[in-house]
Amino acid sequence: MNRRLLVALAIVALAVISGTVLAQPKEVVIGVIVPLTGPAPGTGQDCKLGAEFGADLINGGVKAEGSGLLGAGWNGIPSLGGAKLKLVFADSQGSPEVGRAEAERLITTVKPSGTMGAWHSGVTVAIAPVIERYRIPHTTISTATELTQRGFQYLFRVGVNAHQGGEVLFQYLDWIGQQGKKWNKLGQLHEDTAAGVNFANAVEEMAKARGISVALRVPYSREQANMDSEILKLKSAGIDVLVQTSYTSDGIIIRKTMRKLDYAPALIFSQGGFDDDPKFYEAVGDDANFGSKRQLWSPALSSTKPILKAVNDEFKRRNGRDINDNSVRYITMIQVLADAMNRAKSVESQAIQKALVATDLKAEQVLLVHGVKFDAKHDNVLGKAMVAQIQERQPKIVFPPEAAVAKPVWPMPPWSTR
Amino acid sequence: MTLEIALQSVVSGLMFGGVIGLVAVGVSLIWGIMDLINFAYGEYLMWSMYLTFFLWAGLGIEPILTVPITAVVLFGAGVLTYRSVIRPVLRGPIFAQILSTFGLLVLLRYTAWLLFRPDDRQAQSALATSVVVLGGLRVSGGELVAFAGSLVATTALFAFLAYTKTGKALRALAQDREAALALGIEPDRLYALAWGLSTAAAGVAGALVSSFMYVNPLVGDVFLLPAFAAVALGGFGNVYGAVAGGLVIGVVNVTGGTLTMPKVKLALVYLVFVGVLFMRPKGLWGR
Repeated sequence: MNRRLLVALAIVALAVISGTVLAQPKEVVIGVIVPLTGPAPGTGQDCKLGAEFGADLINGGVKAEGSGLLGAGWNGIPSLGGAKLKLVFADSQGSPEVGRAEAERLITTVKPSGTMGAWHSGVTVAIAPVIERYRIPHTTISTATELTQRGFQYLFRVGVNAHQGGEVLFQYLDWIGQQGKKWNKLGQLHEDTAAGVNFANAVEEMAKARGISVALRVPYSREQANMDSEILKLKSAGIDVLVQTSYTSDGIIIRKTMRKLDYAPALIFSQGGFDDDPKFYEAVGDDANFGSKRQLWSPALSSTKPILKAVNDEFKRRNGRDINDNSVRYITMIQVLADAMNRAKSVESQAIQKALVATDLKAEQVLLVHGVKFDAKHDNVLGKAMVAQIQERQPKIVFPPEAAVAKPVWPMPPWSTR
Repeated sequence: MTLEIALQSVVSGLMFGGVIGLVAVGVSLIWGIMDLINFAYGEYLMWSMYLTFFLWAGLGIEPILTVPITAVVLFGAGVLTYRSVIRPVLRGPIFAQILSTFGLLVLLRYTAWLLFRPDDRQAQSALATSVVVLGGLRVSGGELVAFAGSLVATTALFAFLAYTKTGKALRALAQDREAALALGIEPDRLYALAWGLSTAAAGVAGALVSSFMYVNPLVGDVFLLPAFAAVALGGFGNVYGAVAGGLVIGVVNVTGGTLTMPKVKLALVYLVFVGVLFMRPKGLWGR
């Protein structure tokens, strides 16, 4: 073998080696479908801020070393040669049709390695078949139980489903009972798309299993100017534990109508939605107080997670607001996808899907109250919630007692005293 | 169901019905005078609500105080619509007229969509959140003012139609176009006036409902569909009947929803609507 040939071979070998290095992507695109306009723009904005903050954490822009959080100290995805996450947002406008079209557009034009969204359960139900058809690993926080019942391979629910979210209500009611506080009738008021219907069904099932009957169920359609008959119906039935699922605009009309018609149940419990949206607080002011909600995040849990306060402070410095249930879940979804990509050592969709199936993130590694681990249907088996009551326009954890930062005000004070 | 709840639902229904009535009057006016259905009427209402919202957001004007501004602006928009869109198709077949107002609906709705995005926006008003209690019956300040404003606006329109020379000419035109022409009534100017008055009613209604209802590009439907039912109930083209129809629709909506299930309240409205048309095709107060 002459020297020229040796040199030539060496050059080829070098080229192959450096080629594989070069073949590693410089960035990984993640498509984020959220309602940036439409009936829940404040909500979509929180989701966007959360996703951006999460991506910056992975990309090394948020200093959180030593926190144990997944992605802290990273500078891009380690196993992909430090490839940075790049987010591309699409606006669902809160509409299933628009969401589906946007998902398809996103997938075919920017070719994301993973997608997430769409917040509204009804929209996620519409886009799930699309992401499944294109085999794009997708994470969601939509609660509609039906999402994970259809055998989708590429859809993963990072947040709680309707049952996990409802579970805490009954634990709370038991605990309230042990405190010697009374209530009589459980009723439900909910918007009639996937999120509202699924949650109401779940609550009804769980109530039945505990021998509690749902005295009244009032579904409503969102687009209307007058909700007096809904509230009068609940008032005349004497419902004093009210489970409510509403989006922002309808949630505002309902709360104002409650005040007008002097209907103050002992407990209003929601699965989030209207009462996560800053616009709700702008519109109803102090009338937002004393409503309760399922809560997945609390910066005040710092005794068990000291890093939470520091991360929240940084988030607040950047965005002028605290992390809330929406932003925290989008931060976590970014962590989950980044973790899967890192373990997959690949941006190939089947490899990421396999890695997602094997996800095992402890509560300490994410900002949520719970960790992330998927069952066969891709529901998060670790999903659990707390109860927060809105006090001074802020969600304060009131249950479980070990996480509580405030005492629940029970019953909700009558409107005449407020 | 206690008597108090039932009475409250009637009062709530009347408040809501007052606003529906004002919207119905605007639809009915054009219908009565020109035999033309303005499908785009809800869109004028929506644009008026946006005007109120931006006056509140930009200049801090209390929503209710924007009534004169929205009335004047929408009057102008109506006259302009008549001159640019309606007049050319008046001599065409009836379908051309129907399609032209439907085209207006699409144009106005999606222009708003393009400019304002589909976000829900709402002006915040202290008046709207105040609660008035009378003998145990409760209404919000915003609703009460909207109800009173609707009655004032429709009464003013009645007075104009009944007692002024121009108003009488409008009614003459509605009753018999040929005879009115023979008497020297100039229809073109009056038609423009009718359009202006009709859309001004949408302007007033838009400002009145803005204190308790959010605006988005689709909000017109929320008010227009019940208003159509009110027009048909009150008698096609009968401005007086439209108000009464609106009040009936409001009470059927709220009281009916409370007595049965709220989910079916719109179905009840249309059931009454179909029932009345079946038994009295000219409407309850039709002539």
